[in-house]
Amino acid sequence: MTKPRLVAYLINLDRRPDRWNEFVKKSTGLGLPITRLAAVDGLLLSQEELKLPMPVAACWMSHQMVAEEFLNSGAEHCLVLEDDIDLDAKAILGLENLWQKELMDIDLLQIGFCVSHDRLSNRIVYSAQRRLVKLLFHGKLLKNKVPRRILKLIYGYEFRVQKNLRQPVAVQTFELGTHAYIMSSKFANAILSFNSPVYLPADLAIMELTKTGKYNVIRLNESLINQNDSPSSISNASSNSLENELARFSSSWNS
Amino acid sequence: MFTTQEHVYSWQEFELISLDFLKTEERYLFLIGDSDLREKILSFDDVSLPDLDLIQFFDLHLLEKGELGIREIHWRISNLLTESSVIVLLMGALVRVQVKLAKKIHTRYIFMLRRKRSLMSLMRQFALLGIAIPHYIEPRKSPLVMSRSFVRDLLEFNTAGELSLERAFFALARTANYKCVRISKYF
Repeated sequence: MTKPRLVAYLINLDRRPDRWNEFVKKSTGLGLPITRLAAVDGLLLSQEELKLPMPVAACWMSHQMVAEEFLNSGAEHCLVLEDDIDLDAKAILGLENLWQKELMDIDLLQIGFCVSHDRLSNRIVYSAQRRLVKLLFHGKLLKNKVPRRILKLIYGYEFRVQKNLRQPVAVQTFELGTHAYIMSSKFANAILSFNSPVYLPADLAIMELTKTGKYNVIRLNESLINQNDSPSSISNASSNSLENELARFSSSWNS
Repeated sequence: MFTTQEHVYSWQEFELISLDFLKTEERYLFLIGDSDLREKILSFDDVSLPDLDLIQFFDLHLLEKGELGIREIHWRISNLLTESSVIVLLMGALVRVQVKLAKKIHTRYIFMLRRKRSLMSLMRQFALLGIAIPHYIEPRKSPLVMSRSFVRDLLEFNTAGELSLERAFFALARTANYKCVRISKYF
């Protein structure tokens, strides 16, 4: 039996059939063989053994489970989706397009990421960055070293044209959000061996693996897949211990 | 306290030192190669340490952006606003102005002052060493003070040594679980 080049998984909690049904409904036009994997349910874990709130830890464990499943499949790359993605026509077209591409030596390709109030995780204005890089790409200036160096000076990471994808990508950077990415078996091995027990949420863990410089990580200039507005299963899951302490002190000033 | 008198550069060095530290009963590990800083801390009258997990001594250049996107000047200005007696007097006068915006600014300022006072109380004598910045640790080589539990968690988290020492303590400090403070412009 020949091994598949690419496999695709969607992580979905058993107690959230609404999200799976929504995905099935919206993905009728998507011609990819996506396998549903039951997510690790935070409610079934014991908080005593965990360093993070249960849903946050369970999210990372689910991604580790996907990595294991993918490695067992023997495929070269794996598309990972979370069940809260907003699958619009543009996302479907983009995913089908990516499915055809040769991913070669890419270890991690982030295709969806979170932008909050038009800011990326390091407070860079996303829309300005996206437009500037797009402009340089269309003007064929992104092949030139000078504009690439200027971009690196501004943003702290490089942009380049990814030949096999035929679009601009940010290099060696990973933004918040683990709802849509493609990984290689090398990266899946890293996910499996890192952050156990779970100290970091999934996106921070992947950010740190990216920062080691051992993996070829890229992200699309423009987020292809966004998260939908269905109620989150992990938000408001943590409170900052220093802020709690400061609040306690502050209230003592009041009295 | 368990102190090292040399700079600790690599994860492997840190691992060895912290294993020795964990064999002792000490509550804090001082990774302070800077002899002036070490002497200053050792000369504190009150030897009891603040209830913090990580204290980092490090300052960026004034216009340099930190790892999480905030320029150092932001912290210097915040500090100036709460230190300057002129500004304190000005804000005191502002509360007498019967304008909504003035009241809003005053309320915000009082919140800043209380937060600053709370942080100073929490840090005890360490607060005298420089500008205290809550949460915003930088992944750079620098003098550090770590609590026993932070050291233990750091060892468990980066068991395989996948991350460098700087990235490992930064990654843990970034989560909401630890009380971390960076002291900028110390002395």
